[in-house]
Amino acid sequence: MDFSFTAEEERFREEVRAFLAAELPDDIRETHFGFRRHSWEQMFRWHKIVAQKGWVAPYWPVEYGGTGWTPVQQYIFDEEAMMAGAPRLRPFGLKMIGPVIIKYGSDAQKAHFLPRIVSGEDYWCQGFSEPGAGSDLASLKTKAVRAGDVYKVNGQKTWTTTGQPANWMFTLVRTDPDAAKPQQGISLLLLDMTLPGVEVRPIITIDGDHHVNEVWLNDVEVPVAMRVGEENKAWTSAKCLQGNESVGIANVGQNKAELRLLRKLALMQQRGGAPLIDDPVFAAKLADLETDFMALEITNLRMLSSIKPGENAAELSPLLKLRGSEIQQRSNELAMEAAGPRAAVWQKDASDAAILDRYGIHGWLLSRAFTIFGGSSEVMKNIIAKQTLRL
Amino acid sequence: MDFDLTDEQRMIADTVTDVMRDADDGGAWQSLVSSGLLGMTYAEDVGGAGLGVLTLTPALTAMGHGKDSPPVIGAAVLPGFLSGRCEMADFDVDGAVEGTNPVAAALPENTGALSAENGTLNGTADMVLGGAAAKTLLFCLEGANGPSCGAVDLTADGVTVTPLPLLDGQIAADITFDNVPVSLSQAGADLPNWMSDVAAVCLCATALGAAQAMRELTRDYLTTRKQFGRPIGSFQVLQHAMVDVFHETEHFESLVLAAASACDGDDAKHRQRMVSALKRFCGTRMRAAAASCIQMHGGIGTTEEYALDRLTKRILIADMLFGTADTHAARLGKLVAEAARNEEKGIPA
Repeated sequence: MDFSFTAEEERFREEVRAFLAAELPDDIRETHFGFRRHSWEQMFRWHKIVAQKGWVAPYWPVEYGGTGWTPVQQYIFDEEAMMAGAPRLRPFGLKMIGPVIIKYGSDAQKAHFLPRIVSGEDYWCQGFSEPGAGSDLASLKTKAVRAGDVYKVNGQKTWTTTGQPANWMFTLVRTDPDAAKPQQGISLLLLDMTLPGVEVRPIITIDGDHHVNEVWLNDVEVPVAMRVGEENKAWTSAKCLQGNESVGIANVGQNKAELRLLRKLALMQQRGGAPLIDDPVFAAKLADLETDFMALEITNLRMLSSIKPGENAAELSPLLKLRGSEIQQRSNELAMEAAGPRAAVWQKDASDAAILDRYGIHGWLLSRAFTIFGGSSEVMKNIIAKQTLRL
Repeated sequence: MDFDLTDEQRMIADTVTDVMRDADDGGAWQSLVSSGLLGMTYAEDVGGAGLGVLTLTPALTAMGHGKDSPPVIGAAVLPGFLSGRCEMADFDVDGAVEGTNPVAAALPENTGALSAENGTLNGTADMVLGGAAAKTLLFCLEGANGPSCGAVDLTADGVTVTPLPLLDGQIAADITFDNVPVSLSQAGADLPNWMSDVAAVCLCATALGAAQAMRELTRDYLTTRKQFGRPIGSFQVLQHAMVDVFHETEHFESLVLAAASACDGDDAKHRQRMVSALKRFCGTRMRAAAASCIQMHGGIGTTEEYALDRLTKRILIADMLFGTADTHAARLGKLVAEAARNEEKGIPA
């Protein structure tokens, strides 16, 4: 039992640091340290820089652009990148559909899509949820009827994060309405967002911003060649897609970077004539948050170092998602408290905008979604109760 | 990073598990003595095994699973650590390792009302673990001239030992000294704090075993207890409560191991951060987990004869001794503020 990183891991960390020092653009770094959120443009630019280095899809097999890093190395890269002020690499292509195409896709799909995910040429969004199918995803109703070489797709997807900049969507559709169980009769399609009949409508969320969309599909003709895996059998691949993430699921790197920003803010802000961080009530709340974070960080490392080569998400991963998202919410909450009365200013480009952009009331409101998307906390608990506790 | 048990850790933990399983009620202590386990933390040159805190941890966790609560931490583990880190005149260490000289250790938490001046001890060592059965008391206190330590014969004139049975079955003691002569030695500046941190980690390691046993017991109860014609574990509200307990126990394990490892290291600030986080977690989330397990059981969970009783009490002991959840939150808050200031100056944590 040894809590230190190996010499090889430390060397790797130095290599990552050197890359970040040389290649992370100043404006992106300053956005983070200035308490602002990264823009789309910054995220895409950063993706391309990391892709250029060959490090953008470390968890993929090497033949498709992976790096052959161990889970601990992947974690180190994520932690260092977040602490340097880099944006998170968007997961939709890299972590979600990419690994599914690798596992279930045709040779043509692999040859076409994988390099474009790596390069950042294509940008993906997820078309899973529907107005009537959230946690109960298997009740989805979007219909795909086969007509020769195409499926005619009709229906409505929702909560489509980053649907606006995306040019491709992976989507679950019902191809057999008469299947015995709702989980049967579902297929996975890769859908070109520029096809006729695709309409993206913005949903403005509680924080006043445009992160998610409705996607309406009216007689969209998707080539049968764009189906991943067998017809009617997508439920297994969809579950693989959801269970894929193990390294990043707890958001340890991001949580660590946000906690540092919170401490920085608590040094800057004053309460009763002294820095907020010295206020005993605030300090006690911060101590509780740091405590939970330390526990998460070590539990995450315990999980990562227990994953054997070729294995996927371990049994602890839903639990890590749960606590990771709670911690993110609480650091946003403390940041809102730290911002003080000015947190109530709604207009972000008013004075003090720097703090408000990331950490106003907007941050607290936005963070409500963290325990809902990607499997709500309640669904995560159901999974643990069944799979791990066998209740 | 390697979280697998070492062969040494596994061997000691297995031995302890066997002893705890085979011992009769109240008999575990004698079995531990005859298995030669008292010397675990004494230095090798005095016949001990010289174990570090992390190496010892799985054995203490194994102990926490047991029926019995032998006073191992107070009467063997802590005296062993203390004796190896400070000169102890007039101390029969061979007898301590073999079990013929019962000892206990009074740490700063116990010695606040104890003074050692002009070669005599006066005042009270408060609630000393293992103190009721001890013949020799090792102590460590913050004096006017810095930390000092020593060994004192509890059969000497002027010593009064008042037993204090604790909620987990251990018998601690208030020990009062009235002009009892003692020879003092200078201790390292960090020793009192280190001892207190180690004591907290050891109790939490035992509490971890109790929490793991409590988790198993409660999970099993949910699958066997039927109400409304079905196992109560089929109700989602109980499933989610059980998931929380599962969850917190995993995080608790992470903190126990990390704090134990930090006690073996050289970085005192890092150790204090980890230990305070551990104690805060124990006193908030694990206390709540124990309460939740009782709640999930219903009436049976509130009875003294049911196993949950001793497991809960073991967690509460770790919660209450060597700094409360609040004192540790305060210490952690200060350490976090200090680290934040260093961070701003570019000094790495």
